[in-house]
Amino acid sequence: MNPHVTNYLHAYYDGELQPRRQQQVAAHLAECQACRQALAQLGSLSAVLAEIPAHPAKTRPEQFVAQVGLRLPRTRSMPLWPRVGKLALHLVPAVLFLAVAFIKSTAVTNNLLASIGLLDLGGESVSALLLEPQLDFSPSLPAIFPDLGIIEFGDYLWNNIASYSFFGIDLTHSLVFPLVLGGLAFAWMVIWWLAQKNNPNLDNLS
Amino acid sequence: MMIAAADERELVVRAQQGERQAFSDLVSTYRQGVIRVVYNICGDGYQAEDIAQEAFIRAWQKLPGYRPKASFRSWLYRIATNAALDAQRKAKPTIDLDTVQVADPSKGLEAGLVHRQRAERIQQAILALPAASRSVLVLREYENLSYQEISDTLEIPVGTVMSRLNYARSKMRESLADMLEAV
Repeated sequence: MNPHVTNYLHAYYDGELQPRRQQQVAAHLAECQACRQALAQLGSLSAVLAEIPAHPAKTRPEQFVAQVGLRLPRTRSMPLWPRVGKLALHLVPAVLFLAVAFIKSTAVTNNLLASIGLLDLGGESVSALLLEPQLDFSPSLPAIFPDLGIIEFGDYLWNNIASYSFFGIDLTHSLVFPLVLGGLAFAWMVIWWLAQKNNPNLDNLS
Repeated sequence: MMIAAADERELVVRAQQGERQAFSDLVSTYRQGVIRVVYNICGDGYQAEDIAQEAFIRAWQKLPGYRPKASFRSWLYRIATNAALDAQRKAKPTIDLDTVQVADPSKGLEAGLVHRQRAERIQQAILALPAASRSVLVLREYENLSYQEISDTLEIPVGTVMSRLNYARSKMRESLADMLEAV
């Protein structure tokens, strides 16, 4: 410890030191006039600060409470992150719908273009469109299949699913897509239910 | 008015769920403390209650996001501190003589005037402190919060609380040296 206990004096005065340190400082104070004076100054400062009179109330307590009650907004805004979470929860069905619409429309357009190409109705322009090379934006999967990108890996899985047919309809490939979508929709409903359960006022908050 | 910790927790949960009566009970409990914090930080006796009301309204709006990591009082005092500092930034602080000191007639007119002048000087010295140190000093000297509670309230480390408090006190000792000698 220093010859003086200046560093500990404020914490000692405020009763914030550990008991052992408190005793050490007290022992030092018993012998040191300078530190006792410094401690007394802290006491004097507190006494002077206490001279500021309490704020005289303009309103009675019950009047103050009533005024606050009247000023409270009917709805209250949520903090940022719950608001973002709530927005995301609302967006999930829309994103699922758009994904289905995009995939379906792409399939329909492809079939249409293929039909036009087969019937040779569109001339060279349609053929060129069909032969347009696809951009390779698929990152590779080095750890699992070093030679496959994500899209090729998806194709690989899709083409290797065991196929079950019924009256000429490929049941497996017809069901995978609706099942995945159904699973996502179900997961969304579970998350929504949990969110409602944890915060019943979720919809009251704007 | 003091309430038990368990009752306070229940009131906070009910207020979080939107129950206004529960929030009114919390306002009633912390009204004085919040007004005191606001008054001592912004030094505006005339506006203190309005700013305190504003702080409670902010608290109501932020309440759904409150998590009991720190005590409700610390959380509320943080909002009050920020509201007082915001108000002080917007308006130049003025000392309202009528609210700073109510002269005690038993002390006589002259003594009352001296007391008023001393109170005004102390208030000016507090207002001259940087906002960060002033908040710490007010929470310690007028609200008697522990270092840990001040740390929770202002979201600063305990070490920073100590250094800011030391700084504030040394500045106050310089500003009020003549008054301290007379004590």
